[in-house]
Amino acid sequence: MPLPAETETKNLALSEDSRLFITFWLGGFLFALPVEEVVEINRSLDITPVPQAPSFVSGIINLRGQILTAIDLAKRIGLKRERESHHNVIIGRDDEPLSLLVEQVGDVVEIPVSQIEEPPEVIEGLDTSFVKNVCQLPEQLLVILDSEKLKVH
Amino acid sequence: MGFEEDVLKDFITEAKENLERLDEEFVELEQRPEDKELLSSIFRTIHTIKGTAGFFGFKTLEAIAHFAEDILSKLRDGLVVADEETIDMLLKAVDYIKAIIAALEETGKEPVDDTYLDFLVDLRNFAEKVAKRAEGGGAEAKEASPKEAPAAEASQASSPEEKKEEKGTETKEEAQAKAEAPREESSKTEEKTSKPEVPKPAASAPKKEDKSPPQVHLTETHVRVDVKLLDQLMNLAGELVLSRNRLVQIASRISDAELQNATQNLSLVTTELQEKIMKTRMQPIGNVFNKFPRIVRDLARSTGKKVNLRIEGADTELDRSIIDAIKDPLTHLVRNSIDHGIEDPDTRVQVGKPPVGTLVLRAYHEGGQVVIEIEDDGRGIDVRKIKQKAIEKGLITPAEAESMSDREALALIFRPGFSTAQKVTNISGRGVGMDVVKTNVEKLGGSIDIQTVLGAGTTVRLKIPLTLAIIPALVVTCEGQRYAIPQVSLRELVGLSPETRKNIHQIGDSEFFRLRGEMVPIVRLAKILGVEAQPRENESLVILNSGAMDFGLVVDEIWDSEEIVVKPLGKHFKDISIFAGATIMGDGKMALILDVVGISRKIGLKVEDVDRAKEEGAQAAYGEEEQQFILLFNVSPEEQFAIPLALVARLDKIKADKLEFVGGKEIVQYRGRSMPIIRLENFLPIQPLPEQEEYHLLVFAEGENEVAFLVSRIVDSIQTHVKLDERLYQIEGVLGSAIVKDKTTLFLDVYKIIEMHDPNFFVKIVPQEERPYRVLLAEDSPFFRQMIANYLVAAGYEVETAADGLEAWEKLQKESFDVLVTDIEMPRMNGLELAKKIRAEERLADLPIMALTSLAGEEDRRRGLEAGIDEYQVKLERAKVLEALANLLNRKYAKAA
Repeated sequence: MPLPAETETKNLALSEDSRLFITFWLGGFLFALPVEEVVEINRSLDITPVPQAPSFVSGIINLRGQILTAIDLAKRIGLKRERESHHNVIIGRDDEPLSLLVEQVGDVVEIPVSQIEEPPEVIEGLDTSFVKNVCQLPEQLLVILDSEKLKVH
Repeated sequence: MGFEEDVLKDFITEAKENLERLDEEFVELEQRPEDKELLSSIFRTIHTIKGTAGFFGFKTLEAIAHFAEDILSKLRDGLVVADEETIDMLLKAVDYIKAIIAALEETGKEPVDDTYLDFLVDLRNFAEKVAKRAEGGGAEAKEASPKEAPAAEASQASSPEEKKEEKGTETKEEAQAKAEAPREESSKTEEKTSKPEVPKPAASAPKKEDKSPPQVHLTETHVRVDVKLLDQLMNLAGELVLSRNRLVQIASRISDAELQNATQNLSLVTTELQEKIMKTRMQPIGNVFNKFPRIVRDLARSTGKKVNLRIEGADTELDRSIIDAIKDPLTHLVRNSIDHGIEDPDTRVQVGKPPVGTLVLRAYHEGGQVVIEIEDDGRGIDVRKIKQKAIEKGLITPAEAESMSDREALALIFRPGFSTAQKVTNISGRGVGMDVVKTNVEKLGGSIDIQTVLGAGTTVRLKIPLTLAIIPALVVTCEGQRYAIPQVSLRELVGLSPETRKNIHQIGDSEFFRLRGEMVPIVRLAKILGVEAQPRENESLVILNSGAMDFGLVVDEIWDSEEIVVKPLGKHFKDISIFAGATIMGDGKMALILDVVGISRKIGLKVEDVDRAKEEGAQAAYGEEEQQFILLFNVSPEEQFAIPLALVARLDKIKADKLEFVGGKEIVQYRGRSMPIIRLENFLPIQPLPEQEEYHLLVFAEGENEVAFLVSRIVDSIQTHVKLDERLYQIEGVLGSAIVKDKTTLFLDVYKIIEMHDPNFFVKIVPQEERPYRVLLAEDSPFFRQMIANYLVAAGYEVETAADGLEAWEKLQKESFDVLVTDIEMPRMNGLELAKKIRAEERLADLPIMALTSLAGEEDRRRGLEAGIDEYQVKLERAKVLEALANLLNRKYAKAA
């Protein structure tokens, strides 16, 4: 799979005016969440469906004895999914953790704050109400999601 | 009183902790004598002790703390520096405080001992000295030699008033502080310290050096633990249980003796650990009960009633979370009892009751649950008034009221929008009805029940689970997913075979299952869940009780019953009322826990369908092929046994370690009594019961007597038409065999086996005659025929049997009998026809006839009486049958004689 472009760096030492993001792929988009909002990333965990649950909820997963709600991120943000979402990006450090199901997890990228922009009003094929910021990478638009909005039930 | 004891206990626990810390802090203080923060902390601790001691009126303690605080305040304000001597004195003060706390813990009183008073004088003198030093300013204080101080001060141990006068140059502030201190001291200590003040002023000084404070070691019997930590421990224990379950499953697949041993050991330790951790969360229900003396007193006053509250079983323990949750329902029920139940003194005297009413709050354990009873000796609940009220409120129609039993009518109280108070008072009428109480109790997985005797009083019984965190549950499947159903809601299980499916009736939009003559609404779990259901041949019906109603849930398969750890679901599922949470199963997969009350609300029954079902149920019960409910169980896994379910008083489980061998008898501690155990292999030629961690008990009761069969597994309870083969097994205690669920099943004669175990178990009703009465028993089912014949013979009758009405008729022509006991449903000639025929024949017109049936409805009884039957009984109710038979014979033949 195509990885984010050369701008990314493995060097975690941050200069003051840049931030680290975890990136992942879903429906052809490259999404990102700030590193500090992500608790962990897990490969496919068993999902138990919960009948009668909202359509964007895939079910529940067992994360080392804790039962988490698994959100079908593609459905949640109005996206056409291209492949099965098997990876769990677990967010929610201080409150109820949630698992966001994504197709593929990308790398950690460092983005200079100066390059982080307000989202455009329309991004084709995507509900922009969940988008906090965007960042134009050389090969791809990086869509930074608003985790607070994602947590709203 | 209980309240004060509680507070005192808290105070002591807290003081002990603080004192331990003080020791450390003082030592630190020696290193850093000017550490303000440290001083403030010490000051606060002593200050708290002083305050609390004052609250309880512990004078000596208060006085010691007071002077220590005095010294500390000077240190804290930097007026003097903490030197070795000062810290010595303060440490001594702490030692004395510890000694007093220890005495308080032991006796609840302060120790009366001169040493305390002597020390108090020393301490006070020292405080004076420190104060003086402080006056001289910080610099001077440092210069003051600690060595000369005691001697100088010792002689001054006279009245504080005097000293005050001596000093002319105090600042205003200091004067105030000083004036306050001694005055407080004298007022607080004078009662007890009159001695040291006057007779021993001089002696106290020389004593000072050699007198060491009483050394007491405060043993820590309690540790304060954060509730959150306990919750985490509970969670971890839950995890451990799950891991254990998983390991046990794996171990059972790999047959390795060593692994088996290890897992078994792990299993035991885990169970014990879990129990112990549960215990840490347990609190005595007294914590709630203790609030009631005050509530009752206030209520009684405001209503002008006299009420004596009796509390029983306050030490019964419950999970913390449940204690919190029952507070409000209990308060409501107690208010109700006083407001509506107990009469005012005048009324009570008029009806011959003592003027003071009695209200009993009682808690006790019963079968893994806690029962809480609120009992009053008031006027009781008038069922007629309730019906009338319910009609007025439009809850029921007059016709419904007519046909309602008292029990059903009492249940009306729990309907929303019902209040029995003639006028809404400010006590009970707070907009919270009994329906809310009921809902709250049911939310906890509990149930509520009212018993009332008009004019004599009312008892409300709450049954509440011990804990909410780990619960026994039945695991079922639906479309490939597993679901857990809390065992408390479970009534019974029914296998749906083509045979039992006949009992499903479609009425209107709803389906009903005829369960022993009762129409129970049923609903498919798949439908409730909204998942697509594949048609399947074998399903199971789980009969559940939601508190308000019984209903059946059709599931694909029934798995096992298991202890599950309840985990909450995330907030995305808050609006789904059919789940109570989720749990992780032994294999690491998850299962949703069904909320029985939530599901019952989703069934959406129509009232007219329920009414029609009731009617049809009553009609269908008549004239249909006779079916029996049987309980299938294993002793060893290979052999299947059956007994009529109706004979069993209760089903229960026990741990192997609860079995005891006493005086050559095997017994089990059960509900506070010793109950004998019957191992079937001791009476029947069958495979023995394998060793298990847990066994099932089938409990049988006769009056006060109870006895239980010990079995390994309950297979199922099914409704079926038994075709018993009597030839294959002619063994005492076995009625015969039949194929049930594809297995040869032995039908046991429960009465015979119990009699073999203990011939005196059943009360014998032997008719007072020189020769035994001759009974003709007509019964087509060999199973029942044998069973009834056995218990009749055991009771002292001579019994002749007939397989149907016609055979009975033929026998009646040839021989003479004292009484006919007949089944109703029989081939060739049924019981009603037989009775009519007998009554038509002159010779037999007076023959007493008793009908036995599997179900006794009023309608059946009426028809029976019309046909000339004298008595009508349910065949499985042995004791009633025997009693009724004896009465019938007495009536008939005593009259004749």
